[in-house]
Amino acid sequence: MIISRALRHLSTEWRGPALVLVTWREWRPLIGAVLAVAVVAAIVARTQLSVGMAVVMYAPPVVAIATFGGVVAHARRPSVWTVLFQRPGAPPAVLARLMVLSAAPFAVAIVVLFAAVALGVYAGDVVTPGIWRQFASFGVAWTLVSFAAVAVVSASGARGVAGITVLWMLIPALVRIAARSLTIPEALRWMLEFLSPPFDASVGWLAALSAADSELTMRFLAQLVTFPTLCVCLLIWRFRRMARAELGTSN
Amino acid sequence: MTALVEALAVEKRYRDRVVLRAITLSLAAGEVLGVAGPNGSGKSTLGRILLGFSCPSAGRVTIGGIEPSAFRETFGVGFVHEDGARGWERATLRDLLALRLSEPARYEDDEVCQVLRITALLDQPVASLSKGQWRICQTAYALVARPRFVLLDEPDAGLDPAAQERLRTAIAIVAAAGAGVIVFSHHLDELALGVQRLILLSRGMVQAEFDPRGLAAAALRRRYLAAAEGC
Repeated sequence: MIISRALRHLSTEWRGPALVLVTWREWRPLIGAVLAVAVVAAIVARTQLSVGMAVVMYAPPVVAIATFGGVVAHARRPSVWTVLFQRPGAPPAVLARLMVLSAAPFAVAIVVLFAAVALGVYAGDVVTPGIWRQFASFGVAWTLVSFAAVAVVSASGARGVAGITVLWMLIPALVRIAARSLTIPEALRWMLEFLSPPFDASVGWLAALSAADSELTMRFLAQLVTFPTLCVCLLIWRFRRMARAELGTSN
Repeated sequence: MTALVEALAVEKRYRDRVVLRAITLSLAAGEVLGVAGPNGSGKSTLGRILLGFSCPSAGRVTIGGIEPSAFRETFGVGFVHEDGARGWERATLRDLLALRLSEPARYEDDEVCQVLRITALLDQPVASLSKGQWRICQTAYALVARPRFVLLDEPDAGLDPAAQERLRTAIAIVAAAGAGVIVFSHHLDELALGVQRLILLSRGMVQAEFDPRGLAAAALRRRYLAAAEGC
């Protein structure tokens, strides 16, 4: 009854994706895990701020992996799929709305974890001036980059979502490690920089801008534009493929 | 009468396997067409093509003069598919019906809902419904928005005779409102009671097409068996 009353306030286009989201079965363990991590982060941040900030950065993508992968798999069950696609509307648009709504838990997780760390810092004796400004400079870009990466991989299928996402996200670090002992051709390095999540760019673009390093700034900004564009293209392609998938074999 | 659905020489192949061969059929607005056939005869594949979830390998299908997928995305369709309620256990039927209708509706006053007797089930979680109740609810979901094209795949599976009768009445209501309805079923006798034309499908081909009304059950069964054997 509560759900149907809430649904009435949404336009018909958003009702289906919203109902899919609220009927997904894994919310309770996910919320429990986020709250548990938030408590730990608050406690740890009192003495070790860097650990607390790491939680704020790495936990939300994990939440997004669980949410996106689970919700997309939920929507692709034939029983759910057939209910969704009887009503007018292009399936790719329905899936896109589902993905947009799935971002809500991701955003809430970020807010909860960030608030927990802030609380820990406030209650503790470690105060680093400028830490919030520093976080704001790269936190938003970092969040968007990881959000885009997770969304793309989650839309690609339910199996191995976490593994593929983590591997994709690790590519920049793996390239850096490999570059210590191997000579990576310049063209390959550039290709990897533009295809893999630009975490370095998200963290360092403001510093590069302040240092007036025009070449580095341009490269970072190009990466920060290229990567979301690539992700949007991949998502559109994937949604169209999913929409074309035959009903009986779509799960 | 202008055809709502037209399928012309439709063929479907999966690699080397031919599932549908030269299927030609038409369905007028307001008509109820039955399709029967043994397991593996291509009914479900034909259903997916008519709904625009799958493309024919050859031939052409139009609904209302446009591609089935375009029709579905523009106008919506009614569809009952033989599957469980997995995924919707936490929703109620009222939640699901809210997806179909743009305006808040009193489903209690809807003729189809009344005929199918689902008003008492509206606020029950789907998880608490029996298989037959879920099937009736699926049918209500498919029909409540009065779509112009309805495809019901085994809508009578798991239904008692009284519920089957109510189902036929509900189908007749939407057909009278101008919908073209196709019903796939194995229950030949029950199917024959509610359709104006019956197509017997076997080995991916239309083996027979006739008006089943007035035919005795034994004669109907003989025709079905002959069609299933491809005679």
